[in-house]
Amino acid sequence: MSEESSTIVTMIIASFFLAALMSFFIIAMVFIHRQRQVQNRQKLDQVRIEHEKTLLNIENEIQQETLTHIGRELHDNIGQLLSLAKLYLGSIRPHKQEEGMETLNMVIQEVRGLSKELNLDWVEAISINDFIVKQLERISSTGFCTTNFTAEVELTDLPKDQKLVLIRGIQESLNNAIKHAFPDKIEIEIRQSSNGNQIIIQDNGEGFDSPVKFEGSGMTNLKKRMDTIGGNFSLSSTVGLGTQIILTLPK
Amino acid sequence: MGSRFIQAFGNWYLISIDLILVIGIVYFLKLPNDKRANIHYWLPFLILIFPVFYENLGAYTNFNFEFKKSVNALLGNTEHPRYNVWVYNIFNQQIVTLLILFLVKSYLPIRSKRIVSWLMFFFIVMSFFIVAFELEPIYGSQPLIFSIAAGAILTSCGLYFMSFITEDGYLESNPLRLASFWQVSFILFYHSAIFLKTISQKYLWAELYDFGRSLQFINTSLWIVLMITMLLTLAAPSLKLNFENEPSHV
Repeated sequence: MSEESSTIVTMIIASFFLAALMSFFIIAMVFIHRQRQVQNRQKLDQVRIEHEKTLLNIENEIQQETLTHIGRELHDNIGQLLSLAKLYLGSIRPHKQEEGMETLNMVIQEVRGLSKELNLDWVEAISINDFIVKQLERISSTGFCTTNFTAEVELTDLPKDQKLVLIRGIQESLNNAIKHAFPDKIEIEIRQSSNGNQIIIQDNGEGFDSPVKFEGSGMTNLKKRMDTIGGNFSLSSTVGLGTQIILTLPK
Repeated sequence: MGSRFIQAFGNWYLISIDLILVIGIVYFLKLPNDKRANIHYWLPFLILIFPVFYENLGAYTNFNFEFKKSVNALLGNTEHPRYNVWVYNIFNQQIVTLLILFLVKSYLPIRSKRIVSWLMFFFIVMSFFIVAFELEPIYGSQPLIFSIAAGAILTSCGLYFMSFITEDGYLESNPLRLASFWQVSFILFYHSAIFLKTISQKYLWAELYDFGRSLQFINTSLWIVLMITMLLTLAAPSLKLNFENEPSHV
């Protein structure tokens, strides 16, 4: 083989070797990148499934709460009204029968109101501010404690998932206050802050040693749920002074 | 004069890069103003211009011996007036290295950008001291400066590929449609090959002449491929090549 052709053969072999090496590098990079994309997609799917599961749980809990409320209303309110209507309508006095008819109308109104709560369509229709007002009215109407609500901003047009988490969070916080803290006063405030809108739920009840009792309570669950919507949850409590819960909405 | 001119300027490599630059200028002028002001277009354009400029200057020094001799004398080299390696040292080893580092740096996330800035600073300071103290004169071979330059470029390419496989910004991208991916890949290939060639040059020319020539040919070809990659970046909008936008951190 001549010197020139030997050089050409070496050139071709070396070029092929280098080209193969470069191709391998590019294929390896693309492969690693694709793997990462697949892993990321799987992670996102998992987060989405987790999020959907959390929302489903919240919906179930809200429905459970609603059913409990309806049961209580049927027993304490509608049952009483119907008994009263029965008494009035059983009377021979015309004005008593008239009162009986009025009572029946009240029962119809109450049943209509309750039937609306049976599905979760009300969640979409109601604003967080209105929901808080209703919840506080319900508590104060029982005479359990006084309530106060102030709002710097109207929380309307929130996405449904955020609304569900907030509604459940407010319900849970109020239930805890009533069940465990026995406060004289519950206050809720909606305010704007640099971190985003905040809902502050405060009571002047018994309070607790927050680092000790926080773990294992429903509050851990609430914190996780606030995380799933990109919000934040904080709790501070002092024995004898009460508890403050801050739900910060995502910006 | 004609044959000397053809001898100096008429080789396939010089003609190829001259042609690439002419096409590059046409496509660069066809770019809209906003793209022309974008670092990802004007830096590849500069990387096209400088090698063509210094390669032609090198060829001119071979054509015009008096000019070469006077510049050599100006640089303090009266002993070897035929040397023209200073053209390569100044323009390739210094300016083109810095341009390439700037280009790779422009594709990196902030923390990696800082590392490349330090590498550039280190390279400039070291080059200055090495030349100022005449450890490696500007008119002679500069293996130390070459090693620092190649090391800095290879490190910055490594940082690019690190961020490519770790940064979330690249998750939505298709690497085969990213101009930066091809540019940095060929920068990496070229500088790896030239690094290998340079460190083994003396041995190869003496012992494995064929292989040495092959490596030289491969390096020259890779440089042309790198120039074509830069040219395609400039030509992409006109040729309707669907390159993807660089990730948001860039």
